Amino acid sequence: MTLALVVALPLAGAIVIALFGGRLSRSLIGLIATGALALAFGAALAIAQAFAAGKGTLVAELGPWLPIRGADLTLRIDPLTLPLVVMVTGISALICLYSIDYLGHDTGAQRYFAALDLFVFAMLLIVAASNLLLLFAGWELVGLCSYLLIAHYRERPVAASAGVKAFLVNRVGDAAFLVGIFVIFASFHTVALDELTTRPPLLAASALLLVGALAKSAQLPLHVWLPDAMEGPTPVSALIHAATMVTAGVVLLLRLAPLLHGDVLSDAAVIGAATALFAAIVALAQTDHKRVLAWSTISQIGLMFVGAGIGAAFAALFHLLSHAFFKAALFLGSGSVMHATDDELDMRRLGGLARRTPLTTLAFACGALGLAAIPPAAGFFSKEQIAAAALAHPALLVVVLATSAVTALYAGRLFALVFIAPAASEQARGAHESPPLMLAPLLVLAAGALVFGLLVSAGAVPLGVAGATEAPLALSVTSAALAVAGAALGLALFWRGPRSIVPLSLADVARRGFLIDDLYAAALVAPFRSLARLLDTGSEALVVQRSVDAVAWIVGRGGVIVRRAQGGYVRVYEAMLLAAAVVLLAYWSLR
Amino acid sequence: MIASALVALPLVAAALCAAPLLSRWSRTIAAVASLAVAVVAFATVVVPLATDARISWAAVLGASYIVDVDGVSAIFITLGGVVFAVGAAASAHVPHRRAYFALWCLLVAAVDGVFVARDLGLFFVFWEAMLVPLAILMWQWGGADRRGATIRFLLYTMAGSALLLVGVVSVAVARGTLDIDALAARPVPASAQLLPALLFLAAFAVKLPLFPFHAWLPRAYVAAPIPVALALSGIVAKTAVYAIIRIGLGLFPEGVAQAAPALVALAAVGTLYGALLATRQDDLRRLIAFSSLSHLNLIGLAVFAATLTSLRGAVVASVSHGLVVAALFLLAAMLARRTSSFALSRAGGLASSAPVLTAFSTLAVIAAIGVPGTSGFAGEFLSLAGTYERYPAAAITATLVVIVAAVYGLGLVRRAFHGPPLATGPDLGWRERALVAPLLALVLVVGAAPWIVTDHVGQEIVPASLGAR
Amino acid sequence: MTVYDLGAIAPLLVLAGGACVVLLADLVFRADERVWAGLGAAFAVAAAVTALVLGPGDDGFGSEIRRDGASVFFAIVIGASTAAALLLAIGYVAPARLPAAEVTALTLFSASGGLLLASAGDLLVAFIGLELLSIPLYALTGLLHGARHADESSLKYFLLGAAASAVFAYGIALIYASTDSIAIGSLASATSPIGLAGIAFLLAGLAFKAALVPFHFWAPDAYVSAPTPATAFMAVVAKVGAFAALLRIGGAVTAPGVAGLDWRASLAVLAAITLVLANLAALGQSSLKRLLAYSSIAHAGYICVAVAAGVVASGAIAFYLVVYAALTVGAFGVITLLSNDDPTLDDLHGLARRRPLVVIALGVLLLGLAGLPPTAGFLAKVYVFEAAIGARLAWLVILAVLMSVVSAAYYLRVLFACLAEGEGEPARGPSIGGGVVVLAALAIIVVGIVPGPLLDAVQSVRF
Repeated sequence: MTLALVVALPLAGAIVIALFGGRLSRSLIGLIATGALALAFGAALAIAQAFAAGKGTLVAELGPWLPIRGADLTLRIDPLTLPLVVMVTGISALICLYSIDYLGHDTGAQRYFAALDLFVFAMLLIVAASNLLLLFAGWELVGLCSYLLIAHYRERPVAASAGVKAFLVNRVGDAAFLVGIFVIFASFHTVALDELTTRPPLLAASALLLVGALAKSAQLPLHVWLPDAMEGPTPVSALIHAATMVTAGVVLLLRLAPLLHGDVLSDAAVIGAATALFAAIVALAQTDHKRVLAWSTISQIGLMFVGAGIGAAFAALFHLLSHAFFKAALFLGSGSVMHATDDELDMRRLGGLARRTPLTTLAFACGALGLAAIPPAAGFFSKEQIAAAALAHPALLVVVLATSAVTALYAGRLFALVFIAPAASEQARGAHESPPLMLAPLLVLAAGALVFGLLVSAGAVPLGVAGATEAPLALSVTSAALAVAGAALGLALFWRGPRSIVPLSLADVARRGFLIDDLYAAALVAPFRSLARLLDTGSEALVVQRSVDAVAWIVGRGGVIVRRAQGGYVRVYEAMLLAAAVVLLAYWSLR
Repeated sequence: MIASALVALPLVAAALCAAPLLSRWSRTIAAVASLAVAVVAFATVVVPLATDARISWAAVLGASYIVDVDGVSAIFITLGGVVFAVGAAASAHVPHRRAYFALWCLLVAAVDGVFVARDLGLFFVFWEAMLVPLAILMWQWGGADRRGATIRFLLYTMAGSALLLVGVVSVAVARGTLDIDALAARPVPASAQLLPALLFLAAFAVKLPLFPFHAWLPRAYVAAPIPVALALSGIVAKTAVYAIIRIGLGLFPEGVAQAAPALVALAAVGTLYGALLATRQDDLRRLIAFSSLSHLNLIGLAVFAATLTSLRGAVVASVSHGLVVAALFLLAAMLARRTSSFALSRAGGLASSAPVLTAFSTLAVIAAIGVPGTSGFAGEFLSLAGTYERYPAAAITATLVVIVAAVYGLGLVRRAFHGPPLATGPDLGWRERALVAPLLALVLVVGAAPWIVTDHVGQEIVPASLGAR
Repeated sequence: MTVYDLGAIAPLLVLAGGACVVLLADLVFRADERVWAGLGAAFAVAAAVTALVLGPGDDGFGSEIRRDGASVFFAIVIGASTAAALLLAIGYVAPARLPAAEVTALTLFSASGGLLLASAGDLLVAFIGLELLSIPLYALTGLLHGARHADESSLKYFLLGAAASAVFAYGIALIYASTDSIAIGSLASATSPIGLAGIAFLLAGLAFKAALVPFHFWAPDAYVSAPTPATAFMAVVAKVGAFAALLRIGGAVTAPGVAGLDWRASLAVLAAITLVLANLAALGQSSLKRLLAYSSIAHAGYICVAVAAGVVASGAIAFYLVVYAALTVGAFGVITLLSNDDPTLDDLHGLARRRPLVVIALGVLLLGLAGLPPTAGFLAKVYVFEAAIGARLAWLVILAVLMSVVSAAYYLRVLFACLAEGEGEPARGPSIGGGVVVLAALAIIVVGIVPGPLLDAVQSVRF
């Protein structure tokens, strides 16, 4: 019952707002949305209480859905997913609260908050679904909500296109996911997870599911949608990056680990590692502070993929949760910066905000510490876990450590440019602190980013999954040193303002994600358009339609010819008549 | 008894609509009659009632008047009732209203007849009877290209029906009866099923229309008046789905199975083909036409695959497509009323002036592209999952449509509603909302509880010889 | 002459007698023109009733005139169609300034010829019937002096008809030379080349009357030029007579051990040619009357499909002929309601608004002609196709159904022309002719929905 409540409350919030929000004031809508999420969070905490008291799993059977074995509306929560439920509802509630003031003047508040609640509902479905199909429902709905929210400023063509792009790339993954389900269903005739976990993993299905996870989690090569997703309101970015969307791929790998083939899992780890380093380098070259964060998410999720891929469920989950804290704090901080500076996004035009917006700076700093994995922030402990798990895979370990260093570097650069460097524009000079309703959630998240790692390491917050490894001291020291060195370098290089270190053209290529977007435009989008044009003007117009025209023409032409024979001359008629009679005669007498 | 009533009711309504005294009420009569059909049909699956009737008709020809309603028929008739009711209600301000609504009711009767007929001769009668009211409605009340479009639609479908007639006649000669249930009980040997199956499928493939027999479709959808296009796509196309299930699979399971590899390939290609073409359309009606082509081919794919799951999927997808396409056509008309054009290039940025229209359209598109929670997903998933069991390659090909559908679906929303407000117009009024909202509500209800539909599609729908999966 | 002889020719006597009565009365009384047509219709009905009441029985005149189920049935059909055509004439003769008594008498004489042809037991009687059927028709065709080319058409029809008659007569001579008999039953023994040539000539002669392609050239011109009620009569009665005779001859020819295969193959080919060419020719016609002329040729093709199937198809042929009669009388009847005797399709514009009932009736008739349900025209086609499929003529059936799609194109053009906006030809007010049209449409629908009685009745068509 409580479980059903956790999932249903956000949905109810969304429905109420969608149906009746038109007559309510903006802040009331926001409060309803936040209230629904907060209540869900409360219910999640109640479940956590029950679990702490020794309960193993919780199942809520809500009725049948599709006529396929296992495809019922059944929710299920276990020690692995419980922390996720708590995190998703909690962080979403904070982001939602933050949004009330952020969206203070937006006429689209109704659809914004409805989509926000629906978003949380969808993510909870992914986390708590008892079967593949329900999980997939959440999976697709998450994509839908991201589309709605990214395209929130719909009168802006860029935002509208970014929303479509996000949905399309996700759909590529969804299509693979769907086929994966078909394969599984065709083999085992069920989609219930508890039944499937006892079956041998299928290679094809595992690979297809992985493609789904790659798209949702913006991993190589399906990462292209996430940087563009910055077109949505900033709290949406926080939501997508921290709580409700991109981590879904990791959740999938964690939840479905028993179903997934070992080879595919190791592939996931490799892809994750590649993505992590690649995205970290791209992040380094960004000039837009939100885009730094976007690329950093891609990179961090890559690390989680490494963890999940090599079977370190605890490490992946831990990093997922601590990432949720610091990334939410960073994005909300970014939003606060934008709020303070009239939506200025270019870091080269910012600077000096530390003095003008101290609380935002504080919160952002906590987040940046987390991101850079500098002890004692949360990121340090969770990243250390991943590194420790990767000890057995030297190549992966090297990449993880390299990524850590680059991450710290760009985190330092980001912080230096935005907050420390001299103010570079009027907006930066005229910055003002955000209202309390925005600051409060921000600070809570910042605190989380700071202490969450300690709490988990100390065992104060149980994650429900065993597998915490004691990292060797050498590793801890190395990773801490790399982080500190990277961050220090970043601060040192950029505390006076932007500067070019590598040739501009190279920096530009890196900033544009090594042109993968352009590659896709040329190699996928353009051929797709050509194909559609070819079918439209070629096969449809020339073959399908013309063939019917041709038949009609032939029949009509036949009519004309036949009518001509009826010329009106008796001699012709007589001749025809006699000829026909002669033919008949010939046939009958000569047979 | 009730099966006959489902046909008689709209016939009576047609007479009432034609009555000069009731001219003012003809629209109401047509809508209420359609709705009543839906209610009665749905009641038959909820309450056990005697539905069948059997009267001697043209015994010399082997044909009898045999009608019955089972779960599958009832679902289709219910869908038809809803679609027809909405279509009638949307037919405001038509000239010559008595004739229009009388023809409308005749169309309802003919469509109902197709779904209840249990005799091939009777089936053919209703099958052809659909054409005339449709053709006159298109010809008389249609748009610019109505003449050519009507003739093309009519003759193309009649060419298909001509082969169907040959099939029916052959069965009558070979078997001496046209009673569908009796024929199904004693199927002809598997080796002799392919030819009759192809003759029957010819008509159904054109009516559906299966790729590449769709040459009539885009022009008809554009030329027909919106309510007629809505009925044409929403329910008339479904008669083909029903016919393939009831007659194709029912009477010639082996024949269909032998032809299935080719049919499945065509349907899978058609699914993608329609979606790809939809991405290129500027006229909303053409876009809906090609999107329908895609959906209908997906349904066809599921039917040809003939597993229990795929057939259930086909029925759900039929219901879903019927509701969604009806909503889409209505919304397209509402949009066109505001921009004076069906061209997407003449719209743009309507969201700021017409948020409810935008919201409804977005929801309809979401259902069309099969997002979970809407009926579109339930139908699409079951269809594809069921098809995969037997024809994996075709299912995978067709699954790509989820990507392409998103391209045209979201492209529609983006081009019509997003971006700077190039076009403006008043938001939906209460009447307009009342027309579309029930459809969208049903889309969500069926999406959340598809068992409302699938519970009535039992194992018996799968031909025994094709094995129970 | 025995009472049996009298029974066999009683309907014929009623028709011929009626014709004489009308002619004489016209000399004696001066009455409204319409009275004569009405009187003629009454005689035609009387002939039908006579046939119905007397029913089948022993043949007359030593089997020269048959009185089997087929004769009775066709007598009823001919009587009823003649009556209907004359009823159409009631409202038609005065505006067209036609001599009503002559029209009526000629029609009745011709009908009696058709009857004689349909019940002929030997070839000479058939020939007499053929001539009695034809000669009044030549005259009728030329009666409408106002129409374009009326005289020319009449002359053409006569010239061609004479040639056809000659061919038929020559056929009889060859048969007689081969078998020493002119009884139709003796055709079974006409297996020598000369006999077979005779059969071929008989076939050609009857194909001419039935207007099968390529013996049809007279038909379009004659149909268009003749007064419309006469056209309706001509299109129905000549075909009924000709097909009845074809069936009789076919029954004998296809008797076991004879040249049945060739007979059926010839007819199948004729049917195929007729179906294709007639339907194609009708496609682009702008004259309604000419369109219907080709349509009636096309229908001869459908009937011929069943004739090709052999005598087993006599029920199908009879059913088709009845339905065809109603459809044709009704469709040509619509033309009699217009003030122009040779209307183009454009003249029909706006008719739906001005005369909705007539257009609904016409719509039903056109659906029937196109063979669409729920009309009797549909069942008639099904019946014919079943017979043909049973006789392994599937190729012909496929051709026939595809051609009926083509036919739908031109029938619907007519319907859509009525629906179009615009001021076409003014229609005459309500009349008896209108009643006939509506009645025909009603019959087509009723038989389509309740075909049982008629289907049972045609089972009695035995030779």
